Amino acid sequence: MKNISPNHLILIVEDSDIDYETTIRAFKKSSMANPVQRCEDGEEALDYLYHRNQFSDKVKSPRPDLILLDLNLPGTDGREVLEEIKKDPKLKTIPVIVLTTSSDDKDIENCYQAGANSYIHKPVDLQGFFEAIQRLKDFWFEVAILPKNEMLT
Amino acid sequence: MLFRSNKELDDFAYIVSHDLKEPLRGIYNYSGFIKEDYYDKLDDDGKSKLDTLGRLSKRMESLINTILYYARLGREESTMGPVDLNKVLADTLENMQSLLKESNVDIRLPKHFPTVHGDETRIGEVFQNLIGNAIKYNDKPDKWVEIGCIWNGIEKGQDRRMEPGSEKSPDGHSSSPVFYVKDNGIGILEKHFDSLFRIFKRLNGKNKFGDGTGAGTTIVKKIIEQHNGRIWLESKMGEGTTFYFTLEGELGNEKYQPQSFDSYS
Repeated sequence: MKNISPNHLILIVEDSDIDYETTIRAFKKSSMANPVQRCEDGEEALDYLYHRNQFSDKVKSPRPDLILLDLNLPGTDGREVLEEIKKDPKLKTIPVIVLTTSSDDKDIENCYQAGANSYIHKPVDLQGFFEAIQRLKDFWFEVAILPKNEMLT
Repeated sequence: MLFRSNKELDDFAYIVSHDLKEPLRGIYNYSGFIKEDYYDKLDDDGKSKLDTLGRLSKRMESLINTILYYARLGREESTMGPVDLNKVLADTLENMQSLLKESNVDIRLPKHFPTVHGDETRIGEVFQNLIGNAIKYNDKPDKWVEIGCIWNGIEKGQDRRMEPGSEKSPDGHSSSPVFYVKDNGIGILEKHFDSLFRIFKRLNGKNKFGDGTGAGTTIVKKIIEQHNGRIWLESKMGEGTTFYFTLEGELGNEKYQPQSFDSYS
């Protein structure tokens, strides 16, 4: 059943330190040892994905296997990042999980329109958040089969 | 102009409360982290203060969510259309089933309600809030809630029929039915009739009748006013309260369709 190796890279696009720290804490609780790359805003995420600027070295900045995307980011926000990824024939196969505090129906609708692979509302209580990450891990890393990364790069 | 400034106020409240949530989540999460990592190093006093910190940030969160919701009511387009109130009430009561069972309340409904023009989801919320309050603020062993509809002062009970032409009020305009939610609960002092609709205003201590943010009636009033309606109440301490409201439909242009009263004529 398990198709993801612990080497699968997760890109977390999250501007809030506390939210990032909480996510990492939740990963540890779910015994996820995957490498993680963090980008603090949308522009940085796009630079990373397109190997621009400080991320020009493709070996040091490998393509992620899964993206956790916050929506409300300074500057280029998560909605734009999502659209860019899903418009790009190479990047669009990377599953993008929107992980946000917004429960706005419009955001949910727009994200799926743009091609988001799932939309998760960040639960406010800590226990709820840990459970959400555990389930996310169970589904994306154990039930779902991800595209083979190498073939696309 | 007034409409525009209300919209701007709602936008403001929405954005501000959204931004307030982030640092608050930080406070909450960090208090959770301290609890996870250092709880056994704290003495009882420290533990209790840490627990209070977590509880207060949760409370703040629910207040902010209430403002967000209230602001959203004024920001989002409502979906206006014909609303069959019989269906809305059936759905609402279905939603509330666990509460109805556990409080053992007798729900009284006249046979038929009209079809009105409005936003179905929001009208459902009006009923849900009013019925919920009617049950919550009730200390009688035999609780009951009656939901009904009055047309020109004539109550539409099972055995009453609308007189032909009675949809005209004395001033010659066709009038709207008045809906009501009546209970045999604790009652509300008359001096509180106005402040009752103020956001976060609670009339009872939290420990007496359960928790809540105290925004239910504020939201009800906003929805009714968006339907160009009016809400008011009558109450007697210890005997019960009746909330009355009208729903005039979108901008008051669309009137009720008297033919929807077919079953009475």
